[in-house]
Amino acid sequence: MLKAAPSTTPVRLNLAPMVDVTMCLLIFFMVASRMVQRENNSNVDLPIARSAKDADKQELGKRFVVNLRDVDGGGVSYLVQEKEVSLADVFERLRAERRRDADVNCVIRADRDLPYKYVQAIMVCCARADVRKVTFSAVPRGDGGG
Amino acid sequence: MVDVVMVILVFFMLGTSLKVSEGVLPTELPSHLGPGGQARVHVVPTVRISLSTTNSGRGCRIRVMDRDLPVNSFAALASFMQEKRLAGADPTGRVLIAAEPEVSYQSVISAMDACVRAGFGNIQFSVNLDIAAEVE
Repeated sequence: MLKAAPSTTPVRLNLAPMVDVTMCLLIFFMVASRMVQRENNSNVDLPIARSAKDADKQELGKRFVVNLRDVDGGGVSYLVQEKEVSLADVFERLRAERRRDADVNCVIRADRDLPYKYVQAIMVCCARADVRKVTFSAVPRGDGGG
Repeated sequence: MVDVVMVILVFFMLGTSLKVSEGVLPTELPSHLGPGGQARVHVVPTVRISLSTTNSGRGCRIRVMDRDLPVNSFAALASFMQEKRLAGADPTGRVLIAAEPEVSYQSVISAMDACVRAGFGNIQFSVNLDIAAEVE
């Protein structure tokens, strides 16, 4: 007696949930990398300091990042969240941040070849805005110029 | 489409983790500065480091406790600070860095780095309160 062949049901792989998850991850990483870039201007040539502690492991609290870039032909440009601002603007923003959070930390990211006076000006702004915590960004390698 | 999305996903995942590692040197401004407190005060530091530009304008002259160190030799400064520390200097004592406005920012950070490496944590900077008006 002949047996009927078992009926086969085609198996189809449902990719829709995987695509959903992948798209969510993709959007997350795109936004995250954009946010890091906005705060930290990657065109700044940071100074070298062997003793600099890893920024990711430091508890810096609420941060206010100021980028200082050397301008061709002398001078400096102050950048806050990718926007070029004047020193007076930096002071006003620092004062506003200080009003919002008494523990605000001013992170200074400056080109290593800049004259110190421009960094000093930011420190004076911090003092006048009553921002006590000042942090210098540096690249943690090398012998620090010695 | 899935292939393309996966490639883009891997790119962004690697992109965020491959960013240049950044370090920080934290410091705190003294409490006598600030609104209404911008008085010129005389502080007596444990160690005073003066940085000035050389005549050529390229190098950085280092003077610590009235002793001149070789130009641009922050390794010598680190050795000096370590000797000071081994000789029993208080590591919580105030170290004052007074740098001329035209000295490069790298020199100031290198001086701070030398002090931190020698174990001194209380580093303060001498600032010219009129500098903001000068650089504007």
